[in-house]
Amino acid sequence: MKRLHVHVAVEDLQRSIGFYSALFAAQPVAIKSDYAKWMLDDPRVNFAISTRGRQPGLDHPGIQVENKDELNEVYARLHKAGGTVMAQGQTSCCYAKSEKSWLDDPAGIAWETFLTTGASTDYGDGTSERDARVAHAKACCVPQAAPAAAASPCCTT
Amino acid sequence: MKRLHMHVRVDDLEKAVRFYSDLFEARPCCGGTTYANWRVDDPPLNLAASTGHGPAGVAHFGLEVDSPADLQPVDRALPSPIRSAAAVPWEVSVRRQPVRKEHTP
Repeated sequence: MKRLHVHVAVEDLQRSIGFYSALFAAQPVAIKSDYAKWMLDDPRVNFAISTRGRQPGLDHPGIQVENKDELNEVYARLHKAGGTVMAQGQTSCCYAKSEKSWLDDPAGIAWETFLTTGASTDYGDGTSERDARVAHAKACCVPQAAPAAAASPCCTT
Repeated sequence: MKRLHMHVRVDDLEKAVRFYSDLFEARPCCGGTTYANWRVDDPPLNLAASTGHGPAGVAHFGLEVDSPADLQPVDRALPSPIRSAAAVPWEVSVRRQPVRKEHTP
């Protein structure tokens, strides 16, 4: 069964952890110096916050799948929906290793579709993320006050 | 079961309806000429799109709960003004039967 994903860029991680822990009545399953994640079953959501965005607000929503069959099913939907599907393939981002693709919706919101295959010890080295995201002028995972070219490799290169 | 809600402002509702219907492989349950609403089960999501009240982008997120009793702990911990003032505004509401309507204030 698929799970909605939401990644929100925040300025104050600790304060935001308090806010979302109260909202969801649950503690994060992962807390890093720049990132926190709730893996909720009710509502069924993978909710993440980080201080990696350029400005506070929604960084991106997404659809997390559980297996390769679901991934292929949603990939087919992306192509049916139209637009330019940015196939990123295997990547590390947000302390996880995943296979993912991106597609902008009509409101200009970049939707991520991904299958997580393992954990990563650092924020990530998404070598193709810059093409996938910065080409769309989005803020995903680009550290604040850092130009994309010099940013942490996650989600920017 | 609670359900996440996401309300997106769009410029072209017909285009948005085609896109989200393809993305979630589901037709809107209700809506009108300026508003559409999807009740998606996999992944669980209450998605809304509307025109005419601001630039394209996310208007707000929401947490849809089953009963008024489920609202109380959230209201105690995070009163509505605090949720509305967040970088990403959040509303918390009790699940309603889908209704046909033209616009969400």
